[in-house]
Order: sequence, then structure tokens, then C-alpha cells
Amino acid sequence: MSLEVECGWTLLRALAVALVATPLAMLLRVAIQGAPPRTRRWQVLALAVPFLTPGFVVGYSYSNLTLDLVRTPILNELFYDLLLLIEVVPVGVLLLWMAPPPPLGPTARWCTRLIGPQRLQQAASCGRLRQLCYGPARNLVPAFGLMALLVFHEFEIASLFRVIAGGRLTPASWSNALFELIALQQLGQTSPWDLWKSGWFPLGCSLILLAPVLLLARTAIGRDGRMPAAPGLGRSPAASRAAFLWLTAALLLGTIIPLGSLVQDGVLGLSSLWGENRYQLGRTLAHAGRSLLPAMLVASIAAGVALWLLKHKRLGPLLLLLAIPGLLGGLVLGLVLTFCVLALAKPLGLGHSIAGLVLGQALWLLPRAALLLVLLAVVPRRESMHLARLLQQAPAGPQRTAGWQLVWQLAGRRLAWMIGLLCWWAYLELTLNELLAPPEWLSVAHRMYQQMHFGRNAALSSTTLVVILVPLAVVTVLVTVGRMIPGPAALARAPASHTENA
Amino acid sequence: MPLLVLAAGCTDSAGSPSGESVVTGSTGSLVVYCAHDQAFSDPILARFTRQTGIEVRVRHDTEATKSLGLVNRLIREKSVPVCDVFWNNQVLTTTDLLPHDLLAGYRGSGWRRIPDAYKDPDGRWCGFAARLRVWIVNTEAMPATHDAVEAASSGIDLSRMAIARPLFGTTLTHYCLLWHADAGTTLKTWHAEARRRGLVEVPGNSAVKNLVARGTCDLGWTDTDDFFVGLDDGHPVAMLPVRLPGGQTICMPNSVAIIRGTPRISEARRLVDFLLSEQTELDLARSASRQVPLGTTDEASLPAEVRRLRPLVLEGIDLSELEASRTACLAWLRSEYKR
Repeated sequence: MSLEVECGWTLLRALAVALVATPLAMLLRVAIQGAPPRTRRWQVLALAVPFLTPGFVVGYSYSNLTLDLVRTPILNELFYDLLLLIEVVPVGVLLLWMAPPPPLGPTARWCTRLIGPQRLQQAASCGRLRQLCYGPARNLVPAFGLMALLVFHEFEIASLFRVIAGGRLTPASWSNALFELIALQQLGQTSPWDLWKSGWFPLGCSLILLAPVLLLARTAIGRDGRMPAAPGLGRSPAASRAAFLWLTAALLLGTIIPLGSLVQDGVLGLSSLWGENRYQLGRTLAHAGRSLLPAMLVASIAAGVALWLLKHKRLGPLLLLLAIPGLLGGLVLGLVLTFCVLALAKPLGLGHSIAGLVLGQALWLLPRAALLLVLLAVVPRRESMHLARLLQQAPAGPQRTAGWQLVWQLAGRRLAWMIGLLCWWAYLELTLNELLAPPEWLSVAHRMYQQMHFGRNAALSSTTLVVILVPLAVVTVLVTVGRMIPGPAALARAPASHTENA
Repeated sequence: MPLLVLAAGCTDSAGSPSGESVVTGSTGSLVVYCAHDQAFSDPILARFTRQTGIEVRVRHDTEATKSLGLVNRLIREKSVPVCDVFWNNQVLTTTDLLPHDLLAGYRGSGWRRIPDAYKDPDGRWCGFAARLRVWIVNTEAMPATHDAVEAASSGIDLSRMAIARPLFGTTLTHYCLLWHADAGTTLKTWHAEARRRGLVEVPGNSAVKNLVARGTCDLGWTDTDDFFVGLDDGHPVAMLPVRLPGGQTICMPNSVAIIRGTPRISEARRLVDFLLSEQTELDLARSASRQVPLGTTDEASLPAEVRRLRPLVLEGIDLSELEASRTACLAWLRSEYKR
């Protein structure tokens, strides 16, 4: 199958999955937004967890199942599509939730219906297409586009599922086809242009899918880096039941079964890791630790840049411009940077440098950082922040400390969670690592992923488990330490009680 | 513990035993591009570091684009070399680097102990520790005999036979040898027929092993190292050597080469001598991959399976004349798979 044909199939899959995912995301948004706060918290968690479960772990866990499906390519393709659906629906829900309400609300649409079809046709400004564009499609098209884009760029699971039976290849994936083409035809070896001759089609598709998202982002991001939230929706019991079913199924298929089978395999391997291969375990832990360092660096850079750009309204277009490479996926970004790094390596002495990887991953993370900043409301209200800053300059020591604590609660804590999430993504990133990391900085996830192509075994499962648990353990320790630090209320109480006693 | 992990991350080195040494920066450690499976190459390189104190940083290749990915990277990095030593899991793709003038000659102690058939006379590359191309058979599905394999592989339904996609790795070499016999005439017909009859193609030889070991397929082509992994895991598998129309076997040694212009030439030479030493060949023979030593070794110290494979290595076809056939076969495969 040529790259163009594989690209066509991948696009078709992306559109089909997004077509199913869009109404599902609408339904989930209605159900979650209308749920009581306590239920909503659990639903959001259930929605987010499959999205945060690394794709290559899911692919690895199901690799034996797909081997069994080798003679039924349709089932193989459908199963792959289902996993993709589980992965992208949370993104759609998020976008629909956070996007500002369209200019034409339900009341306006009701009014236009009252006008009657004949008079409606006469009024050019209220044509059906315009109604759609300024009405429900205003947010649904970007959600559809973003979900389709994510499906279009997925390669981690595809490369672990990829088989040909009787000449039929499943699942088609342009990213994998391009990788193979580069290896086979030595594309880009002499000049980047021969690579672009092959890469223009996927790039064009990505840009088309991306365009509505950029248009929405251009108009949606508010004055102070906040996205005006859509109004809440009423509760619908049918939607709640459907949402519960979907969230349970997604959590099971997207996280619990893959991680469960990893744990099941891994327990056997862990005993061997702890016993005979303790040296191997030490090396894996050390490698995981070393991989966290650049991940933290790029996460901080991406968060810092996004925060700075969002704070300055006039730099909004620059933020959108800088977000485009990341939204186009790691492969396109990585290939461009590979040639830049190679061209600049000699004059700038970057032969063994990590600079290319840091730049690449920071750009890749930037759109996610911007989205998280808005989503987690990391940019606090100016008034609250101003008051907290004033408290920081108070003459009394405890008040100053309370000021610092308030700043931490208003912005710092959310920022830390955001950096943690970005760090998780950078830690598990594969493509840029493969293309740009010098050998000493190849990440532990990259190492795991390479081994996963050799099939499932207990030792690899246990090592993968260790690799996933290391950042989670770091977060647990940091959170525990963070909780030991007293909050502003406690600090404020301390001097008061002291005075009372006196 | 997590903070210890982070701290350890600052001082770890790929091949060092825990806590023995400290990273000295990228210029101090040897960069090795390694196409050999990580599970088998890592212990060897770790032993090298323990013995010499030389740090080793390794970049492996994926199973899917076996060795070709690294070869292309080496060519791309020619003006700014990053790699010092290339450890390939076969010879053919290493010789691709010769026209690019990327390999430095070195005829050290290791090179001298390897027979002439497996090395470059100028010392630009040298073979060691070979694998063989074999049929892997699920013994619960069919008997592991030449007749049964012949019948199954020439039957109407090939949906129970698996091979790795022949675009890369040892399956590509296998295809090139089949091409070499009659300029591809028989191979082209067989390939088209096999696909029509449902032949299963997977990303790598280990996936072939998995398919046969799990009973999803009855037989397939793989390499001895993958076969032994399946056997050690307790699966009902047996192997038979793949024989070419002339009766020869397909023997594929690892190869090692120093990249021209490396600033760490003495360390690179030490690694090459280490890899080509009798001890390394014995280690690879005793490892799970059971690779067959090419140089002189103490026969008694070899595992029984490796001793049985040794005569088959001697029957291996000469790969040195394969360059033209490989170019033609690869061009055909490109047109076949990427049309």
C-alpha cells in the first residue's frame, strides 16, 4: 500500500471515529455537566484516566489478542477503532465543555423557527448554513476536527497491531508507512525535500482537520487567559445512564484490562526482577529517573511559555502560531527539527546536544499546556492575585507567609499539577525521542516501546509496570510532602491562638 | 524512593554496574548503535563496561525496521558523526555503509581469530556469533519434518503460515537469497501466490514466533534466537533449518564496525576486540539466543543446541556476492509494498 493510500485509509478512519465520537462527546458533556458535583468529579476522573493511559501500554497489553485476530482483519480494525474512540472522546468532551456558547443559542434558533421557512429564506443573514455555523456547529466542528486529528496521528497502537493477512494490511497508518518509507528509500538522506514530496499529503490533511480548532481558539480565548464557560445544562436521566455505561466500558477497556493484564504478567516478572535481576531493576529505576529530568525541563518550559503568552492578550496569535507544530503531531515536528538540528549541528557544535529534543518536546507540549492553563484556571483572577500579592508584602511575618500560601493555593498548586501532567506526557513521548534524542538521553519509555515489538513476556510487563509506577511514586511523595506544609488558614490561626493564650 | 530514583538518574550509565561509575559526559562514553536485540546485547555491553571502565551509550533499532533505520541514521549523520561503533545483527546492511566511506579499518586481535569468510580483508567490518534462518513449527499442529513442512508450505491455504514482512532484517536477506537463484523469477511468482493463498505477514521474526507458539499459525520463518525464546517459554515448538534450492543453509553472523572519524578510536577498538573475542562468542552461545561462534572456541564449553547448529553454519551460503541481487530485490519489494 502506498503512503498516499495508507494516508487515505487513515483519514477515512479518523473521520469515521470522529463521527461516532462527536455525538458521544455531546452526550457525555450533557451528562457530566448536569451531574451533582460529587458524581461529576468521579465521572471526570473516569473520563480522563483512559486518555492518560499510555497508548503503547494499551497496544502492548492487547498485542496477543490482535495476533489471534490475524485472520479476521475487520475485527482487528474495529477493535483498534474502539480503542481510539475511547482515547479521543475525553478530548471532545473537554472541548465542548470549555468552548464558549455559540452566538446563536437555543432561544435564537427557536425564534428563527417561529419566523417560518419562507421568510427565513428571504433573510439572507439567517440562512440555514449560517444558523448552523453560528449555532451548534460552531463548537461541534472543532471538536470533530480535533478528535479526527488525534486519530489521524495515532501510531503507537497501530504499529503494535499491524499485520498483513493474504495481502491485506490492517490497520493502515500513514505514520508507520512514512517510517517504513524513510527506512526503505532512504528519504531525506540527501535533502529534506524528497521527504516533503511524500509528506505533503498527511500534512495537508492535518492542517484541514486543525483549521476549525484554531478558528475556535482564536475567538474563544478570553482577555485574561480564561475561556468563558458554557452555561450549565439540565439533568437528563437517559444521558446519565448512557454516560455511566460508556464511562464504565471505556475505563475497563482503556485502562483496567490493559493495566490489569500488565500487573498479572508483571507479578511473575517482578519476583524475577527482585530476585535474579536486581541489577536490571536498578538500571530500569535509574533510567526512569534520568528520563524524568528532561521531561520536567520541557514541561516547565512549555508551561512557562504558554502562561506568558496567555497573560499578554496581544501575543495570542503568536501562541496559536507556536501551537501549530505541536498540533501537527510529533512525526512532522520531529522530521523538521531533525533536519534543522543536522544543519546546525556542525556550526553550533550541537552534535551530542539535547537541545533539539527539548525544543521539539516543548513545542509538542505547548498546545496541551495552553489548554490545561485554561482548563485548570491556572491564571487566577487578577483581583484575588493582587490581594494575595499585597499580603506577601505585609510587615508581619505570618501574614507574609500566609500571602505566599495564598499565591500557592491560587496559582501555584494548579500550576504544579499542570506541570506534572505535562511531565507525564513528555516522559511517555516516543516519536521526538526516537528522532531527536542523543543516545544518552533516549527515554525509558522509548526503550520499552522498542522491546514491545518483540512480543509480550513477563519480564517486559514487569519492567513496563515499574516504568509507569516511577513517576506516579514521585508524584505521591511530592503530594505527601506538600500536605505536610500548613495552609494559610492554619498559619493565620497560629498567632491568634498564641495571643489568646497570652 | 522516588527521589532516590531521580538522584540515581543523574549518575546512571547504560552499561555500568550499579553505582560503580559516574557519567563523564557524552564525549567520554562510547556511543554504540546496536541492531542486535536489546535483551541479548545489553549484558554483553555491561560486561565490557565492568571489565574496561568504558561507559557505553546504546541506541537500538526497532524490530519493525531492523537495522535499516540505524544504517540510514549513520548515513544521515555522516557530517556530524554521533556513533562510534556499529553492532549490526547481520552483515548485509553493514556493507551498505562501505560506499559511503563510513567505516574505519581495524585488524585487531578479534579480527584475526575470525575466519576469512566472515570478515572484510581491510578490517572495515567483521562478523561474529551467527544465527540461522529456520522453520518454526508448532508440534501440536503438525509434525516437525521436512516433508510435513514442504506439504504445508506448498498447500492451497497458507493462512496458517507466517513470515516477517520481507522489507527489513533477516527476512529481507532470505528474500534476496531466493532472488539470487534466478533473478527473482521464482520468488516473484511464489510471493504473489503465497499472498493470494493467505500468507500472514507480521512486523518481525519475534511476532512470527509468537503466532506459531500460540498456535494461531502452524509454521513460519524465523531466526534461531527467536525460536529458542519460544522454546524456553515452554511452547510446543520445533525447528528445521531453511534450505535454499542448492541445499545450503542461511547463516547470518552479527557484524561490528568502527565509524570513521570517531574521536574515541582506542575505546572503539577495545570494544571491537571485546565483541570479537572468544569470551563474547561463548557468552552469546550460552545466552538465550544460542548464537553460533564463528572463531575457534572450546567445543566442550558450548551448549548442546549450539553444538548441533555448528555443522549447519558450515553449510551456510556465501553472502558476499549478494549485493547486486539485494539491490534488485529491494527495488522490487519497494514497488510491491509501496505501490
